[in-house]
Amino acid sequence: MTSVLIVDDELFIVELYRDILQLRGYKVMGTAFDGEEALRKYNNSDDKPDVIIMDHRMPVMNGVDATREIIRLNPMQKVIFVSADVLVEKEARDAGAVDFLPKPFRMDDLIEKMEKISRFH
Amino acid sequence: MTESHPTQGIERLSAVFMDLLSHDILNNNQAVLSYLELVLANPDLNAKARDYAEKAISHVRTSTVLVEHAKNLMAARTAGPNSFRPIDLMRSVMLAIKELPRFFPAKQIRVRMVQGPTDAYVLGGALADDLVLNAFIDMVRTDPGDEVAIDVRIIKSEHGSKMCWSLVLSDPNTVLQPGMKSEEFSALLSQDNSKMVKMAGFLFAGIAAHLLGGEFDAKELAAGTGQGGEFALTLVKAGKP
Repeated sequence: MTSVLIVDDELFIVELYRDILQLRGYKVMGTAFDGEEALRKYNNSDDKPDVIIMDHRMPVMNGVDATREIIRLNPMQKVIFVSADVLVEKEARDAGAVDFLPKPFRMDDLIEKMEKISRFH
Repeated sequence: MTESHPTQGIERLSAVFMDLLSHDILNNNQAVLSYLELVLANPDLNAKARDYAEKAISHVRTSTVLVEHAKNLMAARTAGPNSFRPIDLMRSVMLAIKELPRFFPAKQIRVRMVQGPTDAYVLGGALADDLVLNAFIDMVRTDPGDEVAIDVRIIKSEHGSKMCWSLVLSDPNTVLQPGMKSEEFSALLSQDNSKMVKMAGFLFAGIAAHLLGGEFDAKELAAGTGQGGEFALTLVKAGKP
């Protein structure tokens, strides 16, 4: 079962992803509301998620910085970046994100990207 | 000490507000879209409810594209004319035609290319692409029927002293209600707020086309009849990049 860490500062978005991903058979192993919390949870967890769904604009630490730090710790970690700001795509990919989805997106598109990643994992 | 002009403060405030507003709207649209997808995934959903959910998704997509257009407009204003790179108008039209069904899943849309040269390049970058898509979306939105037929022409034109290309869309079934014609938007932009205008897409088209040195014109096919519509998007001609 593919495991996921969800990072987004909006509670209703975190709940939305969690509900739909669980319905679709994914294991949501954690959630974080800013980049620093995501980094802390990632560091403290022995069991790393297969995929991290990462928002960009968050308090304390943004998604690009958090992605960069996580990839520095584990270059093999797969991060799918999701943001309402399409201009941040290049920065996100440069930081190490394997894919980018502009909000709003169809959940089927996210699932398809996650399936692709888990097939090669 | 350099004092900033009061309008700079207002511009900055508008940009911050626009940024926050668009971010929140897109996040909310994400939630609405995804929950509607969940509803549609139910195989027992009856046809009427499915139709309502699909219509709601269409409106979410339209509101998203309006936000994107407004963001691109602000970005283009900030970046200035040097950022207006040439785009292939025909390619932009083809992309818009491909995108249209996503916005109107319940409508049958037929687009007929009446006149379309392959060397029509205009200045405008992403904002010009937005304008083309916006023109098609508004054309379909103003046609109340379930079957929409749009004729497309790309013709040489002039605006002021500038050589231009005009993208002209026409639909015999378009209904331009009061508040949707270009002259009413022009009045609004020249500080006359006395008349109510309709559809933010038309306002965006007017402002964005003006910013790119061109114009957007929405009029009836036969003046005074209220029936049929013709939208002309005129943009400054560019050389092939």
